[in-house]
Amino acid sequence: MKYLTRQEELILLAVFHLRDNAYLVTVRRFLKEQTGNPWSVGAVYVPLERLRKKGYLESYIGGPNARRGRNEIKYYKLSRAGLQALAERKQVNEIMWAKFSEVDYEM
Amino acid sequence: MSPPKTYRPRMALRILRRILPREDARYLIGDIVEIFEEARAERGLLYARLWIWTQVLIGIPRFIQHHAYWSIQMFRNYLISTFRNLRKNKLHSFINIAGLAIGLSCVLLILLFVRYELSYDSFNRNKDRIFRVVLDSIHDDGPFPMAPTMLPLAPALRRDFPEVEHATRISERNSILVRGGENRYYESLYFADPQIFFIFDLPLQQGNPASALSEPYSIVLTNVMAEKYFGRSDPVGKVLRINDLYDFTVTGVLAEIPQTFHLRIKMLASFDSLRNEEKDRWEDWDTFSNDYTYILLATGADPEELEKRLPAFQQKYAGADIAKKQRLWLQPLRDIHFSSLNYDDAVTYEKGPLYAFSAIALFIMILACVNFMNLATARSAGRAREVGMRKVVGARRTQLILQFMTESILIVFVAVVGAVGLVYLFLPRFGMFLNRQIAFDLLGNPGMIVMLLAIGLFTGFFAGSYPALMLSAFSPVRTLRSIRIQGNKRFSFRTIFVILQFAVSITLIIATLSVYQQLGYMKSKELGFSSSQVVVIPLQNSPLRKNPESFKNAILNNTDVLGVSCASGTPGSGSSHASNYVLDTPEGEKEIYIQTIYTDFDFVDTFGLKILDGRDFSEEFSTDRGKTYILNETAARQMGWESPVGKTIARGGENPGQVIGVVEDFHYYSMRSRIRPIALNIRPSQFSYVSARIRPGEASRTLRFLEETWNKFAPEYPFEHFFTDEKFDRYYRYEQKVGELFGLFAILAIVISCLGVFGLISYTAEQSTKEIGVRKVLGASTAGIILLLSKRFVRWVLAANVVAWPLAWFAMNKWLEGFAYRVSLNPLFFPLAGLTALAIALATVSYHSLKTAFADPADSLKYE
Repeated sequence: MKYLTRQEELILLAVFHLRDNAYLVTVRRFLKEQTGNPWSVGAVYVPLERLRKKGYLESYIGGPNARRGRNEIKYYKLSRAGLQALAERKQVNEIMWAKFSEVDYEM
Repeated sequence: MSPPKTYRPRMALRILRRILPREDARYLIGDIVEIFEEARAERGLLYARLWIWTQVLIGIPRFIQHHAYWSIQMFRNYLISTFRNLRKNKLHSFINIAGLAIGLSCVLLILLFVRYELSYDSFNRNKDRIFRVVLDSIHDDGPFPMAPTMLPLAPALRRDFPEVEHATRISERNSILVRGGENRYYESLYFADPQIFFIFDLPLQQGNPASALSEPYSIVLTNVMAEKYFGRSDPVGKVLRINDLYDFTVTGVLAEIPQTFHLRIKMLASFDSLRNEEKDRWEDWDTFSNDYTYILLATGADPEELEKRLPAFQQKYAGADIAKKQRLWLQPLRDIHFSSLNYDDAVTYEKGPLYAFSAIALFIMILACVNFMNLATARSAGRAREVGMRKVVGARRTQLILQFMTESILIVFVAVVGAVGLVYLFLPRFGMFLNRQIAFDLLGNPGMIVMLLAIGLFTGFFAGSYPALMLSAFSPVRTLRSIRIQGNKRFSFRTIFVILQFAVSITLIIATLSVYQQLGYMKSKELGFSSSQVVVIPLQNSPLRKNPESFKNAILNNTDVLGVSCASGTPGSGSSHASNYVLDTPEGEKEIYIQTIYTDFDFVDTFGLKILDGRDFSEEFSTDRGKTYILNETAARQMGWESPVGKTIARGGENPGQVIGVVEDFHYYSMRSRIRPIALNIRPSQFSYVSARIRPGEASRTLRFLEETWNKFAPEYPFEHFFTDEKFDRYYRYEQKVGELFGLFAILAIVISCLGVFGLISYTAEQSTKEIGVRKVLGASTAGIILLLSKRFVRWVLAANVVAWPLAWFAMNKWLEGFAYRVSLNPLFFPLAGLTALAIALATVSYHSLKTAFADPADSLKYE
């Protein structure tokens, strides 16, 4: 399988953590809070759509909330493939990160 | 709780809604609003607004880039499919594009011609203030409008009317002998007052406009004339000798005067030079020669106001008697080229043919465009499947419309470019044919470019509209499964069009045949004298005029010269003196106008006139020297005697003489005019022509001998000559041109009609492929199928004949009425033209009908 990029990995994880409330605004806010850096709208929307087209995400339309007027919300959730990709990623990561320690490395 | 009425960045949102990805726009707008609200809550309105406008600014370039990229991609795709389609039907595409290009180029050529004629005199900056003063001579039977006016008019106008800023007389004198150094030629000279340079914008290259024509015997030349007489040396200050009498000093040189000036000025001399020769008329308010008066009105002056004051002005100078029979009026400069006043030397043209030409241009354009649309429509019927395929892979209808429109406009513009190329190619020939230097400067002519673009867009739009709107509307399933689009209406717009086209073609074929028949008749009709091998030498004002007999005897010594005669006029020379003859008839004294030709004893022999009654002039009778007349048949008939021989007639009532003979009628003018009564009379003082009948086959040697002899007798005068038969042929040059033009239009009309038929048959054949397949399977013969496909066209051509015949009959009879001697319309021409049209139509149809008839039915049926 293809490796996910770091950006895609973070976005899939954000969708995973946000559960039923994953859409552009919440994903963007979550990423900003977790990484400490601002994410532009495009930097979130484009990978979200790409992941959806790749089949890692599914989308569904939900009713609007008060803040956004009458505009409906396009929610995302992980597909089976997405979930599996994250799981595989975690496995790879754990192997790669095992026994990592800043202190042990001789400069 | 109702949502608080908050500020919304409407403008930014509206822009974003357009540039965001279409399918997600509504969600994304919501998201952005949400982020905007959030930002406002956290960091204030200003920051939020800044943020949203940044989004817009980032988005727009991206959006444009994205769109441009895909537009180009799609355009490339349309181009490819256009090109593929053109290549797939090479013949069809070629016919289609070439047809439109030829049609358009004809339209352009005609428009250029019309524009050239309309542009006459418009190069003058003051064109709206320039007028020619002309007059109506008041007769009992109504006014007789004339262009020339009296000599004292211009100076008097200048004196009396302050609003007349400038006024000039302009006179043309023809056949003036001009000598400069070794060069001598006959020229036509213009004489004008110095004010001419302030009225017209004549391009004076050298010399002072204020003084160049102020002295008598000064002359201004065009640079062509300057080079003709003085070569490359500076002509200013040099001398030209006019008519061997006056020396004119060159005071200026004109650059080339625009061809669209109504006066063909080559040499322009000061008007005061004429004072001596015209002293009788200088202050005369009642005589006219070819002298014209032009004025320049002051800015803002009202020409009508001036016109109202002219009768009083004329009364003051000419007296009440003359003023009563003449009415002066002002003719605007722009009207001069199209005027039809009597005794006008201006280069004029009728407006009628211009309207006719414009109508023909419009007609050709409509025909060409409609044909193009027909052909394009017919061809696009075969593309239903492509449309289906495009729809299946997701083309929207607007895209399909755009595709077909782009394609058709592209093809039209290929034709437009082709038409412009054809115009550049044929303009020199066309100009030569019309005897005009018509320029075509597309880039310097934005109006023409706009017109071409408009024609292109219009034709392209309509040609593309059928495939664009019809084909794109069908469901892909239908178009993919079958290509039958619509049933043929029995009597559609297209049918009427084809009938009309053929009617025009047939009319033009009949017209061309008739013109050539009349032309052939005029050229071959017996002129009543033997015109071939008669050289006529005009004596002009050479000293030989006083003593032509010596020259006559000198050339008679040559054995190649069979006969020589001196006369005041010869057939084809055009010169005439008509005078009234008084005669005593049984019914009493009678007066008739007869044209007199003064001749010597050899005129009847030299021109081979046939004596019907009486005898020829003879030196044996002393009375024959001036006291006897020979009449032509027409004159004899008009006199009313049974035999006029021996009767007495008196020219002008004063010179009684006996009629000694009658000759057979001969043509003195062209066949347009009826033969007039003519009387021959011997009178050597009136001779202006020497005619020599020369031995056939030795013309060039004899001509050289004639010229050498002439030079011995009149070395100062150029030798000029013409052949009588050539002169008569030249009378019919106009008819020749009309014939050629009709022929050209006939060919064009046929080509265009064929294109129309071709378009229709290919459409029909395409539509009925399946029908014919079924018929063949059921046992129809090839011949039967060809008949099936062709019979409609036969019907149409027959219908076209019904329209064309009466039209052609009426028009050609009208045209022939202009000739005194004419053929009657040949009834055979009508079926001939009809059959020609039918044959051409069937030949055009045959390509498609044969192709369809011989096609394997399996091919046409296998798509079911």
